[in-house]
Amino acid sequence: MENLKRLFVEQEKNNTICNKSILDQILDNFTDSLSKSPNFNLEIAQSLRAIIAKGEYGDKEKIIKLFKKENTQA
Amino acid sequence: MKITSLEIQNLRGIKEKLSFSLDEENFLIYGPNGTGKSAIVDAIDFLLTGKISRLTGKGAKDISLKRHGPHIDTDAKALSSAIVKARIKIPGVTETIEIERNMSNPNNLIYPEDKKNVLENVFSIAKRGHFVLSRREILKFVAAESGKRAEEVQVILNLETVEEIRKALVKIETDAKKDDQSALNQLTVSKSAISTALSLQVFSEVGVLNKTNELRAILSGEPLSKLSHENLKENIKPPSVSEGNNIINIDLLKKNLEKVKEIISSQGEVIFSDEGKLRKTLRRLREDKILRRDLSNRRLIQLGISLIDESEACPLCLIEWKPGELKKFLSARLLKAEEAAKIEDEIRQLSTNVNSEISKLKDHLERIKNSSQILKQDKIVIRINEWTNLLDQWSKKLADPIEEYEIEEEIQKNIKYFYAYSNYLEDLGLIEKAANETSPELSPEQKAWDSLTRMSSDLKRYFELKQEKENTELFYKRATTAPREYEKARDKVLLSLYDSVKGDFIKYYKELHRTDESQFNAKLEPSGAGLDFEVDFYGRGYHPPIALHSEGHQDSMGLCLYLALSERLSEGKISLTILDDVVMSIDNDHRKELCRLLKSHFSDKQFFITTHDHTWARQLKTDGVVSKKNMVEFKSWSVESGPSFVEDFDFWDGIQADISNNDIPSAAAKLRRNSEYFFERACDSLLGKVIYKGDGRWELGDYLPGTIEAYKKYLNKAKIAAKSWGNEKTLQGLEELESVASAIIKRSQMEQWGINENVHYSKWGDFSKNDFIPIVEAFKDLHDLFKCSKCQGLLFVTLKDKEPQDLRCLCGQVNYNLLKNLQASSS
Repeated sequence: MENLKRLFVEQEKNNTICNKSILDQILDNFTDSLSKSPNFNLEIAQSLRAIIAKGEYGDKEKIIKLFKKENTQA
Repeated sequence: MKITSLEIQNLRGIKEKLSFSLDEENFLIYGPNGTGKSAIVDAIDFLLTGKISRLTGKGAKDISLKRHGPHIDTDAKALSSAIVKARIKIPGVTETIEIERNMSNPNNLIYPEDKKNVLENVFSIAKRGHFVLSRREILKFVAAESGKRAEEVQVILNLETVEEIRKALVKIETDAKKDDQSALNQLTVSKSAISTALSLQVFSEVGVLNKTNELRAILSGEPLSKLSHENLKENIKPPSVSEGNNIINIDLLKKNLEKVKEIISSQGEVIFSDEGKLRKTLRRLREDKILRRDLSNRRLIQLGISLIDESEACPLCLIEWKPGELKKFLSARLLKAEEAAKIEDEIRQLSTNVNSEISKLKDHLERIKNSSQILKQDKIVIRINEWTNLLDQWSKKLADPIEEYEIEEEIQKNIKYFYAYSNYLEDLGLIEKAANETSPELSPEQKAWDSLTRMSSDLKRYFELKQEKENTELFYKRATTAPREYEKARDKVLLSLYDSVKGDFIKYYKELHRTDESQFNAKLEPSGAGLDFEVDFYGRGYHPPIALHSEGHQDSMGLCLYLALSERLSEGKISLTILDDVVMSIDNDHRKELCRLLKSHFSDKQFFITTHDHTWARQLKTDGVVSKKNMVEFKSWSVESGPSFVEDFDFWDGIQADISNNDIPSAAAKLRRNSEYFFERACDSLLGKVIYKGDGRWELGDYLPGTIEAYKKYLNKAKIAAKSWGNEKTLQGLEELESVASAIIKRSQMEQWGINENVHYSKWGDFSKNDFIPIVEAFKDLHDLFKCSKCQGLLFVTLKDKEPQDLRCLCGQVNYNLLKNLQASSS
């Protein structure tokens, strides 16, 4: 039983730390909390995540355009 | 990724082609300093990253990869001959893959095209180069200041991007704030223009609707229920006198002229006063560097105060403070930072006030300018145009006052001119006079029609600006939320990451120091932009690693922290770790524990180890970390040929070679020296007893009895335990082993005289091959008795509360339980 438990802990550790980058974990948390914030919705939060994940976070105009987008779901 | 084979030529200190077969296993290069070991590390670094990290950083200003990377005698036109090749194994790919890189194009890794996808995935991690650990890197973790350590750890974990994203989001927040203020200004100006045109004291949409309906009533129109720029003239007919191009609405022009005079006379002093305060406040902020710095560090200071603990050390630089002093100091800084934040708000408020009035004035002047053009008052139009241009420039600087607004005294003199030139009243009078002379008095219907026409465009602009303000407000709210939520997400993940790194670090360090620091603990916590690292000192509180621990302990900490981090940094893709001469300050006992640690926790990794220390090299082999075939001894180095080395480390082979050469004295000396070393460690692993000697000079004859006695004792205990558990098969195996061991021990005792150091060295010269071979065979069998045949590691005893639990080896092939079944014995 202990061995099985240890195996699961190891797997969990590998999934969250090794196989998924730290940045991905931050962006997961970020997208989740942002989508629940007032003035945001899932679509905008996910679009922002996509921009950041593609390394386009330096493209200010792209993010500004997204932030100015009308709320369709919120 | 692991390395199967390696080939290097014309690179750094390597001239002639070197080939090593690693077989995806740990590999060791040992030898004195200056024999070319580091050149091998550089070659692997170059192959995997396209760079040589040793040639970068501080002091490497005049060093270039192309000039100093190839062997010094390499022709600059033949850089492609400076080459590193390897066959590598990647999990999930059946066959090994050949990769190579040469100095003619360091950025180009050459590999089979069909392996592009799988290699790009691995090399995106490998190119970070964090698979090499040298003592220089260890000091980065252990001795660095908090902020610097955070940078190093963030670099190793590839976290620089995390901070870049945060900065990008904060920049957008600043832009959003400016946009929102600008939209508010424009909306205020638009409201003011409509209020002036309709003679409204205070703007409201209801007020505008009522005034519109009054105008419509003059034209016999029905009242509107909803305000819109599109239906102002709905269902009403234009008056009989049509609108001409040169006809202006004198009433509206007069209202604008009056408004300009009113703003200048009634608001002028207020604006000058606010502008004066604005410059004064800006000067204070700009001249006080600490105030500006505190403003940008406000959140960091707040966090710093919350992180002060009982140690009273600074959470950022780890400097110790007298009790209460640091908190007092930071609280004073925070007060100043709060003051700076208030100053920033005050600046923004003052600039908005001034800008709002300037924008209103400019808007009325633009309307007057249009009328003046119709009235052909060309000179006045030029002057008004210059006026509005100056107001425009002023307004733009006020939009970003902290960065843009000029505070020199000379500017103040110009402000009044910007605001209104000296004979502006004369010009306004001329415009009114020209309007009265050239424009006929309009009928009330014509005036109403004209007002509705202008109101239509003013209202269109108003609704556009209102929508824009709503958009910028939403933009600002989103732009403010995003960095806050991002920081929360970052802190949550990093806290959890550092926590798990800390857990592994403590675990590794405790295993390494189980004899002297079994209760060890540590703190590894993000602190603002820094990373605090404090370690427990024998239960006497937390201190920086360099404060109380020895250099050897610090090296252990650096190594353990790196190993804990390395679990994360490779993202499971790079199994190779290069330990470049990193244990020089760690003593023998702890090196033995390090071998156990590497074998037990990192058996899936491939360590490439270099060392100048023969004892450490021997330990690595004896403990089964490195196999005999994967050890290379570098003997010497020459610039013409590179390193010279031998690949055979096994002393049994050396003894055989001596016997073949009929050099029995050398063979006997080797056997005694190596057996002494071996049994010292075997005795330690089995917790054998040795008679104490004040001079600390124990010999083979001191270690052997204790080792053998302990071994026999544990075999006996294992037998009793197996019997109590009813494990017949194990019991039978143990009895057979005991019998074999007894024979081997007896034989070795009979032959021991042959190598007893009390036998004078010169007497060995009388031995023949035939005399000595049985001695060697007996001792080889005796050595093997204390090792695992599979992993070649020494057998050892595990303890719990000082009670022996198991007799085992690291790989688990040998694993005898020493605890008997208590229930069986009681029944």
